[in-house]
Amino acid sequence: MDVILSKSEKIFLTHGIEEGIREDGRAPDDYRTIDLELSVVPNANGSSRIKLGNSDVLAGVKCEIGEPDPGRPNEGKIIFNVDCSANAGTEWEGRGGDDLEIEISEFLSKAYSNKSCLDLQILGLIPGEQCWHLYIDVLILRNGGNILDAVSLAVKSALYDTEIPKVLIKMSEKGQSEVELTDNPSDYIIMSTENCPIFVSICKLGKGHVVDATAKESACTMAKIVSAVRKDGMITASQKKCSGSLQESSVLEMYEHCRKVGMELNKTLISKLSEAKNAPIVGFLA
Amino acid sequence: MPTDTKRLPVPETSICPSTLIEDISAKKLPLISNNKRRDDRLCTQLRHVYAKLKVISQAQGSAYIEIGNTKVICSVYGPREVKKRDEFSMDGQLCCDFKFATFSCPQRRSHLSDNEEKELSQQLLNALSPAVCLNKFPKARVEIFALVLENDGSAFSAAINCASLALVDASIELYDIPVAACVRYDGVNLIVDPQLNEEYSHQESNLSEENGQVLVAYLPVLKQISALNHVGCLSSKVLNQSMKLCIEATQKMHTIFQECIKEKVKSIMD
Amino acid sequence: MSIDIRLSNEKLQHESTDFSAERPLHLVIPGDIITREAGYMRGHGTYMENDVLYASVAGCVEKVNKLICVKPLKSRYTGEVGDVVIGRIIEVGQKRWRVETHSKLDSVLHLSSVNLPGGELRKRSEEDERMMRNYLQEGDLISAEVQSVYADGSLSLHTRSLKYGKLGQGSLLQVPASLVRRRKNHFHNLPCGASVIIGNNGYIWICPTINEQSDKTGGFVTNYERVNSSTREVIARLMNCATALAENMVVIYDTTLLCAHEFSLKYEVKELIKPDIAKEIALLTKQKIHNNDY
Repeated sequence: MDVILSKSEKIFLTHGIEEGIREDGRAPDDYRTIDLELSVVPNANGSSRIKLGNSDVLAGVKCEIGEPDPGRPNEGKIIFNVDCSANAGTEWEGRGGDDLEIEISEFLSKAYSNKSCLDLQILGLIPGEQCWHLYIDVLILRNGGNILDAVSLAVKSALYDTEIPKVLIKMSEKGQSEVELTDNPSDYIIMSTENCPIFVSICKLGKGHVVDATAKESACTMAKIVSAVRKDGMITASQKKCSGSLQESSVLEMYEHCRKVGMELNKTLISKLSEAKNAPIVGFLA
Repeated sequence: MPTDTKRLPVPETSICPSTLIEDISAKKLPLISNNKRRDDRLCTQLRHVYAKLKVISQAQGSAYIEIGNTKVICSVYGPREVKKRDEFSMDGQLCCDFKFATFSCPQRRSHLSDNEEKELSQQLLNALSPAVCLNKFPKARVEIFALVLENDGSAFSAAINCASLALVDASIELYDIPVAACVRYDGVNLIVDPQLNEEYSHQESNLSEENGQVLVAYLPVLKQISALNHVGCLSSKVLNQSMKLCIEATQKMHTIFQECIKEKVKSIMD
Repeated sequence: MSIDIRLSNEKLQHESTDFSAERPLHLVIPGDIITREAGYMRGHGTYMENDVLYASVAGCVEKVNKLICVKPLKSRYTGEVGDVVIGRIIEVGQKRWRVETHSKLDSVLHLSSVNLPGGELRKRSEEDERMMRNYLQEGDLISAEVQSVYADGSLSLHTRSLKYGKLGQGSLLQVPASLVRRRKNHFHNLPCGASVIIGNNGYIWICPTINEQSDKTGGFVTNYERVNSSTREVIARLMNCATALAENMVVIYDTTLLCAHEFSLKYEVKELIKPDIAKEIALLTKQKIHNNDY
């Protein structure tokens, strides 16, 4: 969502951030209220909905059986797909949202490509023949700034909520391995999402930098760095976005900031997720 | 999906045979043994760089670069007027297109841009924009096309370098020349300018957990970073070290490019 | 660093007080019959078929003598002559600027409707036309008054008074236009230390206090001086109060803003963005205004 601002508005915003007061009174490393809900989509194996300020993201995980990669016969696959709903704005109608969709799904693939994030060996069934494919689909319902962070929170929560049905591998009469689903619907396996990364976007405005930028703050940003931070502070992917340039010292400062915020956000999310799993489902009307 | 009538249709489920060969011997070798890499380079040694300007006659500016076996060609068209009234802007526009040729990588790539190439086009734009004096060509657009002919590692950084040289050749006003370099960390060593068999790939399971690759595009005179891209799990200490190494490597490359440009200008003046 | 994640079932359900008991409201939905009696004039939101008056929008019926109209819950701003609006320049055209005012059609600000430096009654020359961009560019914010309404509903604006013109440093907020009533004065210098311009089109501008005498330059001189942090806090607080009122559909004018500001003083500025606290403040303001009316 491109917000146009006048030069005076941009100066007012930037000066404010340099002094540590943002437009809505937040400090530079404060997040807006995050609303979390799990299991909102009953048809999916796992789902979550995250509202970060005005941004609204829905993520769903579906498990299907397919063929593994030839180079990695014992592992399953995760496939990310992002869809920007035209409900969020007319500029996303048709193919208008393609650029943002590709940007987000590519960054998700990069960040999750590391082995430490998800144990893909659990998803392997019959080596070289069959494995679980996890399709993680993200739907952006509303873009109120900082959409990448919201998407990463939704993906991590949806994966936490995912229940993969247990399967039995039997030998058929012809001597081939066959996969059979158990009859018991409450028999499932859960993947550990402790090491899944969370994205933290830090925007540089003037001499200061802020976390969780609103749409207006994004419009004044010359350069921002997005990092995928794990709960132990390791960064699994990062990228500089927007068309400005940064000094080396600023980059180092921003990385340090990203790490601290990422670790804190991970900690808070993980503790809330265990509560959320047992909470009653309220649904979309809340 | 429009059918492509120019090329022979390939069966959908075709696989490159090299992926089925298990344990390619080169991959099993450690990256560093006796302080030398697989191709006898030192950790901080760059491959040979060859750069040539004005290789495409129809373009305003063009450049061809070879870094080791990685070959990239880039052309710049413009500044040309932007016809659409809606896109009026007092600043000029930059449009970048990055493409791997279908035969450039070990696995055949699609002739249509896939998501990775579209994302790299956007990153190329972000890397070059800070260096271009956009206010000098209002209402106009400059188009940059980068094509990787052979990918033997660090293809994207070679593309950034090639695009910068092409912009210089096109006489587009620049604040500085963006120069890019790549550094790979395998848990123990930091190596500069990795070849394809040294590059980070998430398939390698025998390496330590801390394993990744960092790309930095640097503006040497302004001393600013115009692109930063990292994949793989790294701690912030290693990230800092990698960035510093990248910047040193870009400074070496910068001197090479300066020589190349001066020679070209001299040869035109004579 | 404050990171607050809450679950959906933790949201508090406020009891909504019913204010409608004192004034019976005639609520209609599209297609409802308003009246079968003849002799009434049709206003906005109604249509006539076979001598029966039907409603075409969902809202409540308003009767002024013989004029019946239906006031919808939330509609795009439709301008009237004399309204104060805040708009953003989106295009610089020939002898006029195109202004976006969040209405059905973009508004227009003619070169002849602005005050140029050097006297008001100068004939607009060619040089003025070329210098238009020096005065107002794409993205600039202006406060203006509606001069006239064209047949298609688009507005023609003018800034022919020193209190209108280009806006400087401050924050813009967008609220539904139906929450802003037409009043005598839309420019308020609030005692808490900031000025507010409440545009009829739903745009609210909050900025550091405009001095009565010295700063009424009509927007020719843009002030890029740093605003001090205490004023910034006041502006941020007012912004959050106005957002709280808008989200809870409370009418916005200077009294409600000041009320909300008063109730918000017990919280820190950044706590006001939390939906629960925002709802509380909006409800308190609504109650106070309601009590004052009766």
